[in-house]
Amino acid sequence: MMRLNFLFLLLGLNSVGFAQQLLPIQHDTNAYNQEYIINGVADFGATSIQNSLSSKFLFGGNITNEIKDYSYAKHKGINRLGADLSSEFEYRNMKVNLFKKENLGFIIKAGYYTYVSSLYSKDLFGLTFYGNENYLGENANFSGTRFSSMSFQKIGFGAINKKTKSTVSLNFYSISNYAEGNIREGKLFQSASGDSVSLTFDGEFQYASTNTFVKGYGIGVDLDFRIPVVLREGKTSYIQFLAKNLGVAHIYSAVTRYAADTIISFDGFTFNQLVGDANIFNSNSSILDTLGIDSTSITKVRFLPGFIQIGKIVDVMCTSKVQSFFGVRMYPSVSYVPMIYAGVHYKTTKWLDLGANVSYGGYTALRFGLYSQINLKKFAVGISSEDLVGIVSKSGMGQSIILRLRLKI
Amino acid sequence: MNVKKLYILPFIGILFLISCNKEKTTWDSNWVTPLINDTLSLNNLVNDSTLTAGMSTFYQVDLTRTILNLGIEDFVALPDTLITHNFNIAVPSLTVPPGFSIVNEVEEHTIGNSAVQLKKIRVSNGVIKMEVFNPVNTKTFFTVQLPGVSKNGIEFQEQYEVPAGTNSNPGTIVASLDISGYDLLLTGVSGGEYNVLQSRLVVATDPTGPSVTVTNAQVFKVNALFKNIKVDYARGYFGNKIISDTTAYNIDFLNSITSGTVDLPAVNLQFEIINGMKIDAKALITTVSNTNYLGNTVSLSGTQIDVPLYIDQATGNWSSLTNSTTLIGFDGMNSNLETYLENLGKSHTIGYKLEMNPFGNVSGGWNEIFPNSRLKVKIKAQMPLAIGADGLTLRDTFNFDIKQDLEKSHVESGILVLNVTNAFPLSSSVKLFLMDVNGVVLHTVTGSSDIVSSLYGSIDPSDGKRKMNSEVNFVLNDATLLDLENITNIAVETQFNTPDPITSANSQVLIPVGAFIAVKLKAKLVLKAVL
Repeated sequence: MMRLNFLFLLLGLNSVGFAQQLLPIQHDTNAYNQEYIINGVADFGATSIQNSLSSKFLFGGNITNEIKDYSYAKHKGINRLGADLSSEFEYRNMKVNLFKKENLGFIIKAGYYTYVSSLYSKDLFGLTFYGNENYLGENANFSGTRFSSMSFQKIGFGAINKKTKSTVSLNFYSISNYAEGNIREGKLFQSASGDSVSLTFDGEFQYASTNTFVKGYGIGVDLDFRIPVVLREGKTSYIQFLAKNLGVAHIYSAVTRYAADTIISFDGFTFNQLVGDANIFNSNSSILDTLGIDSTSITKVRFLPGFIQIGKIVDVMCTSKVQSFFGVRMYPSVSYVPMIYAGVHYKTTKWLDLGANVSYGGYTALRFGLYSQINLKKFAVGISSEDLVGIVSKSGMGQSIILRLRLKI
Repeated sequence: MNVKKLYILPFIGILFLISCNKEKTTWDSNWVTPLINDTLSLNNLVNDSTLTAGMSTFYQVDLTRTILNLGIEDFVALPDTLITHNFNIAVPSLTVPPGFSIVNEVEEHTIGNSAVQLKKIRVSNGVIKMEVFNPVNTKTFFTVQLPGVSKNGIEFQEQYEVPAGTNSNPGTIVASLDISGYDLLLTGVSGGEYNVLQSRLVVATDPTGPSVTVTNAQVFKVNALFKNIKVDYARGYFGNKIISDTTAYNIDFLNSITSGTVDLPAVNLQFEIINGMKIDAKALITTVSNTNYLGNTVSLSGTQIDVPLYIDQATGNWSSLTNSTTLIGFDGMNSNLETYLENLGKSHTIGYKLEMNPFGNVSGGWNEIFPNSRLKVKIKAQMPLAIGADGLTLRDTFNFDIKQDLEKSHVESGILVLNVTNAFPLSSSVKLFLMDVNGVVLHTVTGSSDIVSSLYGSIDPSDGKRKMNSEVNFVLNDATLLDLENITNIAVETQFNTPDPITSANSQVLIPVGAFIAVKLKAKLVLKAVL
């Protein structure tokens, strides 16, 4: 028991201060008048970047050649990474009868979300962390690279079924950051002697370029349907259909878009280009024009980076000491492959639940998770990680910490 | 300890982490980028006509510069001149029938200035703006004649029909006549004058009009304004004119020399005076001197300095005009020319004096300048392009304004790699002095080796040129790059030598035709990314 407590302490000390939900999600049909729930998640996953490197971006410090080498060796042709940093507060009121219907209460929720995802080549990692000297006489290929990032805030209003605890909410979003990039073809060739370089580039990058905090707005829904099913004779289980932040956003402030479909070769300036009245530094022509890069300002409508999760959840009312949970989670992103997960929930005492899970997919590959929840009379605290290896090992490929606070009145 | 209380600790830990300032994320990466790729030959430095190859495999210097070039416009200039021709009848009153003509005497008008006594000129460009005033109350016909003004043998004559008028409000005609190509004989009625233009006026009453009474109070008047007159031929006496000047010029390239010596081959320097005018002249080279980077001034001395030389006038006429050419030559035998040139003067002074008609009007007013007449003074020098350099050091300073914020991604260290293919028989070593705003040298970056003379290389069978490849590295260490903030100027110091591959002693070398230096500069940089 002391060991477990020590592990929980470590989990906490290695996490960052975000909170959301996911594992464990429990089905609790107890009747309460009100519930206050704070969820938070800080989740980073990658197929090829070890924590020894990614932790430097989180906590700072110098990325040594040894750290780079370890991660570089893990890279394949195409690699993925992604991060979900979000927190959400939800208030549930089951004392009132919404729309004068006895089985409906209302919910109010608010939150802050940041999603980052990328699909990239091994050579792009190599160029970024080693430079082009390693590629002398070779092509560095970064075709197929994609990148997207969005931060937004949400406020939502909805209804809750007092009996099934299913919820639906209509949400309004404020978009605070947006960036997206796509390189259809990208190759950098440098001669063996390094005295010429050639860049083939077909792609674009766009980002919300104004300094205002609110750069756009959006509308979407959250759905949480609990569906009772009989998986074993005489025993009812609950399948959850969870959809978060399904909607669209309109980024109305200027989105600067750079696009190019060009081949640039450079083997050095001539002296005439460097000195004299007609030198390149006095030239009025834009560097972007010279490089064949189009720059435009546009507005943009994008899907919100929401997700859908379908799975069997733990039933609080179940008398069994051990329950299973499993499911699949999907983000509408090419960098994210559907993640399947399964786990075991163990009720150790009246006040302490423990669980373990395994998952495959998402922004990374195989992950092992662990969670615990302490249940008091009016208060529940849960802490978990979907990537146990990432918590304890620098060789892990991600970090995950999930916190949940729940006040029941 | 109550186990439940342990759950507080993760949240305390989280708060603790949030409150911490994150250390910056950093890593090093190695980048190689080309910077300069160019080939320099002597064609980049001088105009093409200065260097000639001829039949030789080595360059010859054929330097010709014109320091004086005068034409007719410098001797003859006619200001805009207004000629007014008035006349009235000699009797108090006269009734004249229709078609009656009144002929006026020829009048003379002085044009130009007395310093130049023009007998004849030809107008290459110009107009006469005519204003004709009729004071009588019937239409009249004015005939304006300019005796001595002709084109292709036809004398200038223009007729104007002028409406009726009064003495106070005369009938008026305004006209503009192009007189390009007209010859103007300016010798007056007597034929012995100069700068004198003649005019005559004939006024006829309207042959179909009534008889009119003309009084001596009525003035017939013609204004002729000679405007923008350009002359391409002139005859006369153009005066005793002295043209003198002291020309100073700098050779900026030599201004960069800071030490060392050069050895130049024997050279022949000539001043060529070409006279295409039929005017006698006297020329004098008053001074030739230069001052080098050390402040040493050497004056060219010789038997022809400050000694007057008489210049013959041209001979022939028009298409047969033949220039007279006079040479003033300096060489190692009659002057200290070699010493003068090897002083490597950065600032030069040449003084000369040219006197036209030094003996006055001894030609009877028969100086002539034709359209193609020029009076020129040229400097000419011919020599093989050869140089012996012994530690000849050039230093030039450039402004430098590249800063980097060490708190952001920056270059941590680097090497500039200079790859050179040298087809010049000179070797050189390069140093960079990185200086602050006060000129204090903060860092010195010395090239790892010399750019080696082509004489140490081999002949490239593809073009038959002897070449030598060199690689010179300039190491930019951490300390140098950390100091970029304070560096405002970079002095590039290059020391040239012309070593003989056998003796290693510096000696004079000929510069082969087509010699070049191909330069490829690339940077190998260690970039520290800071996020």
